[in-house]
Amino acid sequence: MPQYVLYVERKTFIHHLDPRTKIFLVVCVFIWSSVFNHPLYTGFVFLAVLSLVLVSRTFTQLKLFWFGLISLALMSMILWPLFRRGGTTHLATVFGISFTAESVMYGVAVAFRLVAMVLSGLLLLTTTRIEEIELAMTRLGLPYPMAFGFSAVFRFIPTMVGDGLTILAAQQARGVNVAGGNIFSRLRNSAAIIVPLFITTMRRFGDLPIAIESRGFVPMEKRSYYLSIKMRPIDFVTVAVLAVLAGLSIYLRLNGYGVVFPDVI
Amino acid sequence: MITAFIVSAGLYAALLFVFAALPIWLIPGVTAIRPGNAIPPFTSLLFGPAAAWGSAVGNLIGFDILGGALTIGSIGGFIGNFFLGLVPYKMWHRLFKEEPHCRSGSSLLKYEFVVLTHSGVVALIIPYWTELVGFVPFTPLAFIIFFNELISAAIIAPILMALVYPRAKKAGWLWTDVMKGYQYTPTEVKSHHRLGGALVFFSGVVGLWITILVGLGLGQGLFFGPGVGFAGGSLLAVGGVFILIFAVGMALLAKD
Amino acid sequence: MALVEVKDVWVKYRGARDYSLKGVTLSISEGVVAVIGPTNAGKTTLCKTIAGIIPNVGAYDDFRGEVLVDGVSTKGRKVGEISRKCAMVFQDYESQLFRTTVELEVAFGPENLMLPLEDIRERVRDAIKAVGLENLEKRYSFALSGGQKQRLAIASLLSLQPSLLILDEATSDLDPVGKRAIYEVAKNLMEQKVIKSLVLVDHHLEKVAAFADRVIVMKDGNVIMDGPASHVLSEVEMLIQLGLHPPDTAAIYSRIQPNSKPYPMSLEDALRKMPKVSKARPPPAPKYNEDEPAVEVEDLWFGYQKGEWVIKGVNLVVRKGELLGLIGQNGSGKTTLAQLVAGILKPIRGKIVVFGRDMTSYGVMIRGRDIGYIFQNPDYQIFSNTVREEIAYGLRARGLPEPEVEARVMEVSNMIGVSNILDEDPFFLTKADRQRVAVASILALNPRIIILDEPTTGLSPGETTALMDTVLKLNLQGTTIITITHDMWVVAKYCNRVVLMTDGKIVADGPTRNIFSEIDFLAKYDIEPPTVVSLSKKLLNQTYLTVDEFLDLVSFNNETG
Repeated sequence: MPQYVLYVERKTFIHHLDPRTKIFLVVCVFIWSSVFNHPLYTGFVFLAVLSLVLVSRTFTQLKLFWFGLISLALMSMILWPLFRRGGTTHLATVFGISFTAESVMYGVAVAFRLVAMVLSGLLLLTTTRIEEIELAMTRLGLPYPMAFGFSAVFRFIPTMVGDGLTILAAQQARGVNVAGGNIFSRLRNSAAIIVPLFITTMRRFGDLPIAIESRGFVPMEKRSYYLSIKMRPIDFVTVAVLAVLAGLSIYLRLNGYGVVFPDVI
Repeated sequence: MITAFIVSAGLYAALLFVFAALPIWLIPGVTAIRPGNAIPPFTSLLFGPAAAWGSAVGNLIGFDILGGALTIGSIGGFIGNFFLGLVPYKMWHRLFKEEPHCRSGSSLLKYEFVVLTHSGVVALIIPYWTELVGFVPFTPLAFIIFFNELISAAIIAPILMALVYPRAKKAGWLWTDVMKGYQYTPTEVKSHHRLGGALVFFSGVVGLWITILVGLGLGQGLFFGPGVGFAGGSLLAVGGVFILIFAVGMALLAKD
Repeated sequence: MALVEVKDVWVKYRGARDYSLKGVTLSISEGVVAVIGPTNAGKTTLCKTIAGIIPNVGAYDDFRGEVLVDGVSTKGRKVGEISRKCAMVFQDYESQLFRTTVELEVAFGPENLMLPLEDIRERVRDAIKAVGLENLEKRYSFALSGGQKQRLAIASLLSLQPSLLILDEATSDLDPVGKRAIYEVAKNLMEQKVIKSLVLVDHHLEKVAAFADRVIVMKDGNVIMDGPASHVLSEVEMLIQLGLHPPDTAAIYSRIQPNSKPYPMSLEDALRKMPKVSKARPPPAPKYNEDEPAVEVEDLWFGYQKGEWVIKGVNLVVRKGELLGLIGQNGSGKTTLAQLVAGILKPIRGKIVVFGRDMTSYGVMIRGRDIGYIFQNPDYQIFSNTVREEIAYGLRARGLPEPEVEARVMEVSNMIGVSNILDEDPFFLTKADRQRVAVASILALNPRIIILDEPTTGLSPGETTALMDTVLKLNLQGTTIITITHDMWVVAKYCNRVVLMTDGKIVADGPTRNIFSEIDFLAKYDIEPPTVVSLSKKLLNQTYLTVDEFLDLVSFNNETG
């Protein structure tokens, strides 16, 4: 059974924050980790996010993602020294390509930055229900039909994945080889999965507009909301602290702190 | 309209998600082999604008959210995938009088021209963004996205079109069945549309490769030791020019 | 004043060959109204017209006539506005559930009505309680079972508090007990005056007889009969000609006392009025199949998630040439077991032997050579441009030479009765025809065992009979058949062996007649054998499986025919 819902029910400080506060937190992590490119500074941001994950007690939920996160970090450490050339401290020459200490440090800094960002996104998704995010988006000014469409797609993915897996089995039973053979025959045979999936889905959702309309939905008209979210004093305090920290980080960067390469992000 | 959006977003997300749960990484955490990439050009030609939003949202949910890759890079992914679903239908709708049924040599050829262009466009936009925000370097990512998108779109999607397009037309599923007053194929190809198409093709295919060459250090110093300067700055300048050209081309195509 | 007035309505869908409604006139006020008829009779079109969906949404070549809801014409009004009076539940519940959680789904209608929060809460609470989904409010709707989803679809319309609720085959995926539960919910709502009337479309005429006050019969876009339920359902000849399955009691009385219309519709009534039996010959003794085993399942265990077993130590031997009916409630593990046998799922523990070969470690590609699996939804496998290519696809995938492929396609299509549509696009065929194409394309591969997973869902009784007659023909030619179904009359008529599952285990296994004679035992697992079985059991302590068998073997004192 694939994991469609990242949210885990816990009673922690972070779970209780308003979803808008948590979205602001994610934005701030993006800011903090993007203004610096020195590994000490982005490493500090990474540790801060990691401790928030521990506080929210969602650490175990992330087990599926560790491989990806570690690979992401390694990728950054290898690729950036190759492509972000610069600095004066010669470190080593490998296969005729020379590396500087600065570019290696930059690679490590970006590795921390990327992992911090991904973790903050996961923190949001593991501590907030998808309908709270939908509600937060409408409160932040996104038109309701867009938020509605977004959550409807979310709702239908398990249905489509289920259909897809059944179709895969149905075609394999007829001898359609999707898992083996060379890459071209595999790609060609995947049409035997995608076409029935598409047609099944179109038949299934042909009546969707009627179903939505017959529940009284008129796209841009006013509506009331069953769920509600409320910014409490603790949310305002949190937002204020986050904003000050974001301002501080920008101030530090403008004064030359926390950078290996001052000219780039 | 809502059906077209849900189907194009849902199918794209579902296919991406299945392969995100079992990723075949190309660049870990950044891009993996995506057989679902055949969906955007396919739904684009059937559903038009709904597929552009569908591709953008489908990628956001299937890859970034369910795959746990929600980062600042997701913004570039959203924009890039939007054009992935926009470019094929817009070009076809303005430039070709033949239908995209892929059942004749000329229809297939036109189709492959369109997917070549849209693969180039997305391979220019997304890596440009990730380079800009210091996320992933432009060059390797552009290379991978281009071929990754092109292979699935060029091989799977024509088969899908050949099997589905005639039925979709008969069943009334095409975007022109919903958006009344539009013609699926032009009665005459206007010159500014031809120019727009040429600019989009130029930026997506020629522009992409020039930017990649800049990124590879052409005239820079990848193989000449450090200290020559950043490839980043000139790369962003060159890529930026081509993105501007692309924008002008799209604007011309959008104009009646 | 009537709640709904339909006045001479004609409907032609865009591009359709013919009108779907041809001058229908009727009115609905209070009570339960059932609409019955064969496929394409116009039942769904009528429902959509009453709900105001036609002519306001969708494309039509022609719409004539008028529909008044509470005295106001539906034409030009918003469907959402009409649905506050007449709300319709469709057959496919998946597309009606588009919100993430149960409570949000139910709240969606009231939210659109701009109701204050307090009212929304109250309506959500009431609607969820009415369909029995309490304590699932926060559950994601994709994590519900099929039966729960159908209940949720109904609840999401109940919260609009309509006067008229339309259920268009909205219970077709439910087991008989789930079906009855839904109808009882609806009936309760009527008694509590939450809704004034109910329109049902259903092929199960015994359920119709039990719940409906009035029955409307449709054919080719016309209403051909309209009257009290017991009167209409006594027209046994007409129902059979329409390909419908009349209630067992009516079918029996139409033969033994043809002039006693209206015939009894319930078991109790039928027993009370039954004339004296002069002679009852015993049914043939059940035959035990001693042939070689086709499938042997040994101590099979399976679960999708750790610690949650769906199949709990199943042992089963299916012998060559059997036609086995696999029955049980929704969620009892029938489909899971069938998919394990076909190799679609891999067991966690246990062994599966097919014709003497241990196949446990082989996947569906290898097992597909022996076992054909036919899914409930034919669209899961159909994708080719023509029926011919579709049937040939599996043969070509296996690399058979072209002349052999063609010969096999002809042979199979003659047998299944699709040889006249070989060059048509399967996409535009009816569901019953698509189901036949799916069967043909599996059959072309010449499997020795065929598994059918609820193949008759959504088919009319006439279409079901046609499909099962073909299956029986294959069986008589030596193919072993395992079929999953909720239709007990299908089991009684066609299967020679029944396996009953509950909670991942087999609780009964034997010849159909033996199993069905244990009515009280079956009731514990919410299985109701056909009414004729209960009738013969109570009347004569015999087990006759079908109406025909009953009439053949039982003679009455006053028999006229």
